[in-house]
Amino acid sequence: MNKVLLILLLGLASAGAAQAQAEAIKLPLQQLTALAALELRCVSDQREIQVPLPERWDLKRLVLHLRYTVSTNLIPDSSQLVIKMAGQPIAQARLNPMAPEVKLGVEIPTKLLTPGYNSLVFQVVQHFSKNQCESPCSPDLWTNISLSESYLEMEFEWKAVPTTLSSLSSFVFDPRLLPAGDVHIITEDDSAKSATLAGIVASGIARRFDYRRVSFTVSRLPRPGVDNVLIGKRAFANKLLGAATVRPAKGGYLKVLAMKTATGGTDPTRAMLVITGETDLALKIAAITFTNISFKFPGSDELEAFEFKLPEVEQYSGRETIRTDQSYTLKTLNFPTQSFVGLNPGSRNITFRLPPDFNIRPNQYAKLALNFSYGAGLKNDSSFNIAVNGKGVRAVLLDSASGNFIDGYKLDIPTYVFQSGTNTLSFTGHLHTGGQVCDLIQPDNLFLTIYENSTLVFPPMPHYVQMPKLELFMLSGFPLTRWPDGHESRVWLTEKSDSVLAAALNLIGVATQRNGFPLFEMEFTYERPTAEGELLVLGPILTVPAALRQAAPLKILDDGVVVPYPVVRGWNTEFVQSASSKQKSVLGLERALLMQFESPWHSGRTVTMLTGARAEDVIEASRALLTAAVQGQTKGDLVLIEPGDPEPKVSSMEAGSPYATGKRGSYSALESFLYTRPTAYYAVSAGGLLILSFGLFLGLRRWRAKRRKTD
Amino acid sequence: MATLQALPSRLAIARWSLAHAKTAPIVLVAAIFIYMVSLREAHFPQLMQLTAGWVCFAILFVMNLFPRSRRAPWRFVFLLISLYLALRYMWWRTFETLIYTNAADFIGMSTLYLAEVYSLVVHFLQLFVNFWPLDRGPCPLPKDQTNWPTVDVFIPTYTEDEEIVRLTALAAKQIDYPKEKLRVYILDDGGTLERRNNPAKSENAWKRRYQLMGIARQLGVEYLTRESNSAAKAGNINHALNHSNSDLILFLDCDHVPTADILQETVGHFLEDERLFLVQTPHFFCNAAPTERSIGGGAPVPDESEMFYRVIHPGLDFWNSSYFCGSAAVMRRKHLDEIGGLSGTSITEDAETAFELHRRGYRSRYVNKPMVCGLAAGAYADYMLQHTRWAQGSVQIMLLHNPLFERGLSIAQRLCYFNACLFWFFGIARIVYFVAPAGFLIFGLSIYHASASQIVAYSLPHVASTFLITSFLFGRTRRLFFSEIYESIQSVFLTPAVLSTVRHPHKPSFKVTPKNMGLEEEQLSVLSFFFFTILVLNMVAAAGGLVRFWTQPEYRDVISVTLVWSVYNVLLTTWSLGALWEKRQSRQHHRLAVFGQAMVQFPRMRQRLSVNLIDLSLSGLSFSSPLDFVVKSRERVIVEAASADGLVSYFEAEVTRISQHGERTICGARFLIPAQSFPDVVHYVYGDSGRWAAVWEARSRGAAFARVMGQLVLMGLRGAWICLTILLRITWIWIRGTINSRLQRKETNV
Repeated sequence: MNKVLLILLLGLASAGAAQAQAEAIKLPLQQLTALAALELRCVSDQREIQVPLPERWDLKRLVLHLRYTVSTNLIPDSSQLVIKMAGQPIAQARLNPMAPEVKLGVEIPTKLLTPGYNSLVFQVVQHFSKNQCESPCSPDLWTNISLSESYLEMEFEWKAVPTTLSSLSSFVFDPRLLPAGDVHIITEDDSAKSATLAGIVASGIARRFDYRRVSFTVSRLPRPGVDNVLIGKRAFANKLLGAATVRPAKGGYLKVLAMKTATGGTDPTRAMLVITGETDLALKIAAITFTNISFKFPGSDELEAFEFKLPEVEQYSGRETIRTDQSYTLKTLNFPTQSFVGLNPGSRNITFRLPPDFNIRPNQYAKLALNFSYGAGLKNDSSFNIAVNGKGVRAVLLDSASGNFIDGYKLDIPTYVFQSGTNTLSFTGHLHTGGQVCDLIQPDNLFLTIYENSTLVFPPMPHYVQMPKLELFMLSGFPLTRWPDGHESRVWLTEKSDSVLAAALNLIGVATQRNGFPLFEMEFTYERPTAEGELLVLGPILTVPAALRQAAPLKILDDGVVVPYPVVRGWNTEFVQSASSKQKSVLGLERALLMQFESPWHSGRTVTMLTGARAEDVIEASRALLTAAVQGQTKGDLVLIEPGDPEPKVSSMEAGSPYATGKRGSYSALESFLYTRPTAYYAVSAGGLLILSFGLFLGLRRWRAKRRKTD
Repeated sequence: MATLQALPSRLAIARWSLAHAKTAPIVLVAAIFIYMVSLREAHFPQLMQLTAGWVCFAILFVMNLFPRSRRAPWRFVFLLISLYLALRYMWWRTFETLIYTNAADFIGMSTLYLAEVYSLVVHFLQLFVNFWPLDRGPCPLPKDQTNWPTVDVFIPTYTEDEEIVRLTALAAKQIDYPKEKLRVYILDDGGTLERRNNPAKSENAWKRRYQLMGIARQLGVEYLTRESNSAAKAGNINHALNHSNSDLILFLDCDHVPTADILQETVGHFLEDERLFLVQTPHFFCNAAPTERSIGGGAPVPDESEMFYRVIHPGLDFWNSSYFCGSAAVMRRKHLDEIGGLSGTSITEDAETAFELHRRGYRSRYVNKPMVCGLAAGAYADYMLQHTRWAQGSVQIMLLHNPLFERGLSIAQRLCYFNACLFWFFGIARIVYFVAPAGFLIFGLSIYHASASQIVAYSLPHVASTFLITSFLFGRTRRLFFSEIYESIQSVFLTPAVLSTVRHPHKPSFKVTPKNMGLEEEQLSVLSFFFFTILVLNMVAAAGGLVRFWTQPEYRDVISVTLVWSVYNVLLTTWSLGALWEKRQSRQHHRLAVFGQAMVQFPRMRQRLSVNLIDLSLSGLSFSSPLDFVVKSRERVIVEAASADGLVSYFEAEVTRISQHGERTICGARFLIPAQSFPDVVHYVYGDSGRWAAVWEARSRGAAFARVMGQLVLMGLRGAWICLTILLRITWIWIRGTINSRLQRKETNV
């Protein structure tokens, strides 16, 4: 009996151990798409969500918890929701109007999912009329899936990391990793040089994670349980990892190996990447080489790097950013040939970016040349709409009864419908059949195909933007990323602290991910940079130099604090009017300030500053800034971040003085002042004109008197 | 040692700095002003830009309503605001609208842009020239006549009617100046030895020579001719300079009849200023040029030259840039001798001579009082010949002397002369403006990249302000849209001449403007063909624009603008066609509307009445009076004519025309005078400069907006009627031709 009990206990313990190794997460569907809900309309419709599965996960269980609402006019006998995973139906449900609010749990066979993105499809057939005529797209026909209340429950175990350098991009730093990446960086010391190298490496890691948020920590020692990156000279690496780990090399040296546990054992599920070299140059070459390994080569666990040639970098050439005056095929813009089929073919979008400081002029046109074809038998009011940023710019009539193939349909789109930053060009098909309502509908001939060799050309625009605008930093890392590699930008850490450095790496990660280009040229410093450029300043508030605190919109000075308080926002003013209060107070703990303002030393240059009472507050705020919710609320020039559970609190406002900047970066103080204050510009012009008039009068009066008499 | 060597140059710099120290603040403020404009407003909200443009325009509009604003310093405020509007337009146009799309567009866009730049440069120069016109006061001669300089009056003539020469010589003899110090010369280039020996011209040359010699003998003036006609008018005058010896020379074209006071008003200036080489006076014309006859429709209209002589030339005088206009001017012989007489490298030797003397540091003045009465060109062909000569001559000066870089001139003089030369390229710009909208509306060339909001903010305030500036500066002498009509009419004819001169600067030759007395019948000038082409082009463009407006909604901004532009071109060409309709002009002597009173005796009624003069010529006059008796046709009257100098003459006249206007009777009378009294008539009619000044003032009146618009409507209707007539004629010819050919075919078949 005791033996049996013992066996049972051992069995339970081993099961418990196995349970303890598996991890579970709940993933709201809203995190997988930009939409808040999916609306399925008409007699038939379908929508798709891509479910990521990281390569290093061994998925054990996947359950879809769905919450949706159906139209009360539907007929349950002939209305149905089908859920498909990777093309396979996994569940079907009647759309019953008697119970319009539905919660549905569906276990999805994990074998249907493969590493990468898996398509989860919701398909409906909807009818509101039985044995009668019905309009195929009647407003009664809808089903709404709430993405915020629907979620995926995932249970998984970690796989062992392959010890090949090429696995870094697809396996270790994987954008499909949920819910976020966590990377620890080990530096040899806390010098500016080490920080700069850490910045390059962090930028490369963040780029690999694509838009997936990634949080960094920094110390001199490894951190078990997460992926680690060691950056330092060979002696330091060997001291930390063991003498035989890093072999002597002339150039930069990269090696990937399994992490060690706290007890000295090996943790094959976590990677230790070693970036080392004998000299500073070799070390930098190694860091840059790591940052650029974007192809599955090499297959070995180590490499020695001697040289790395970077391509010519142009200003404003970041992620999805298009160049002006260059013809882009739609294929280049990630819009391969696409067909719109059926009665409710939906929309297709092209997303591209314009430089964030583009001053969109109203007198130019973007040129879209479309090649498309459409089927025969379409009703002559069939069309497809072209919209830019949600604003319809043209409906193209598909009015040939026998169908048509149109080559080079030219459309000039006024540039004022575009905006600096992200733009969406969308095509929506409206394909109708001829005949009466009760006629048998034959939708197979309803198609519209837009070909990928269609082109888009955007005209040149001047670069000018009125700053400060933290939303541009969140959009593309501007102005730090004016040069996409961070040239002319510097990170100024006001305290030598691992937390402050980690906070800086987090923000660099954000800037890299938004702009899509590693920041090779970004330099770290602990002293005030002498060269002109954009500044990212981080540190506890008391360590921040007085000149910066004085220039910031919220001035925490030694003799008091000057705080702007928003008073009123009238519709006649673009900005919130603020009152200013000078007081003796403190910022407080567990909160931080993100501020942007003009450099007190170089007009037209920007300082973006993250500060808090302590270094811990700075790092916590930087982690909060990794989330989409905080990024979306970060705008203006003064943002108060209060990291907390479950969601951080963010308060944004505009309080500082405006200034101008553009392509050349530096604007004179006078230019900046006049550009941002039109009233002052006109007042100075009018004053100059009056003074000139009277000055000329006084000057020419003598001449006139002379001319009237003897010369 | 090196320091010592550098000392003179440093001293010179120091001296220059001291001399210009006073202007430094103005230069500084001007630099700030230019800097502000150069910063541009592109970054401001569009509403801000729009407000700025229209607030400036509103200020100009209000200032234009108040005569006081025409006086300095408010005048400067007005001009600088308009300069600001023009500059901001040019900056915007240059930095925001020049967008390369393709080669064809680029050519069209560049051409239009260059035309605009030209217009703006001329606009700036005009603002400069007219910055502060000088209203020069009188400069009386001393009472002691012994110090008065001697004066020769030169009347060069070529093939003009001898009676015209007689009239001018007769009036010249009557000039109020000591007889022993005044000599009049008829300089006959029509009776030169060269022409007398030319079999084709010999008879006329001999005849002319004898006639002019007879006139000279009869009037007591000198007759001079020469062997050849080399160097045309300049050569003729230079020949006379070698055969005369006075201190000063009064130049008169042979049709420019001087008033008696011309020397009293001008010679004093030479006594006041030793370095003065020229006193220029205005050219006043007693007959209307073809354009004025057509535009005015019978009402008095300021003639085209008035703007130049009444406003621009005082402006030039302010900058010491008044130049010789070939006639009605007094020059100092000493200075002319210094440069060997009139310069003759261009066909506008007059301006060129002044240019050379200005370059040598001599000065000029302008007396803004009409003291000659001349004849304007009678027909369009003559009118164009005259303008072509001015244009070609000015272009020659620009190319051969380049006023901007010629040494010796002040900056102001450089700009004034450059303006005078550059102005004549207006024809090219005007043709571009005529064709440009069609370039877009018909041929689809993108030549003007601007949105509606930008056009409203930049283009419209600037364009509207140019009309205000014309009104502000030239309102008394130039009516709304008349400059555009003059330019349009001349553009097509001057452009080839100007371009030809640019290609061959030495080629143009001097051609005398014929001064025919009349035009036998009304006719459409042959010059109108071009305007038909432009009219059709712009009408097609406007129609194309309407189609595009509906089919290309994304281009509605620019379509709207070019559509309005086309319609404006249609209006302008229609007006030009109306103006090209040459009105009949058949008087023996041109009759001028005059003002003032005269005494008229009616011997039949034994009454002597004061009457109001209506018009006057050498052959008669018209007057009105509230008569209490009936005037009979062919009734004899005696006119008591009091001249400005107090001399009273009695002329017998015969009433030829009687009409009743309310209580006033209007009579037209023809002089019945013996030959020996003709000088008195000339003295009465032409001797009084105050009369011409009054006529100028009268022409300035009646420029009310409604009246001007009425004239434009009439002219437009006339143009439309011309088009309709021609269309009907063409249709009729086509119908007739079709019928005839069918009939012929039938006959052949039969």
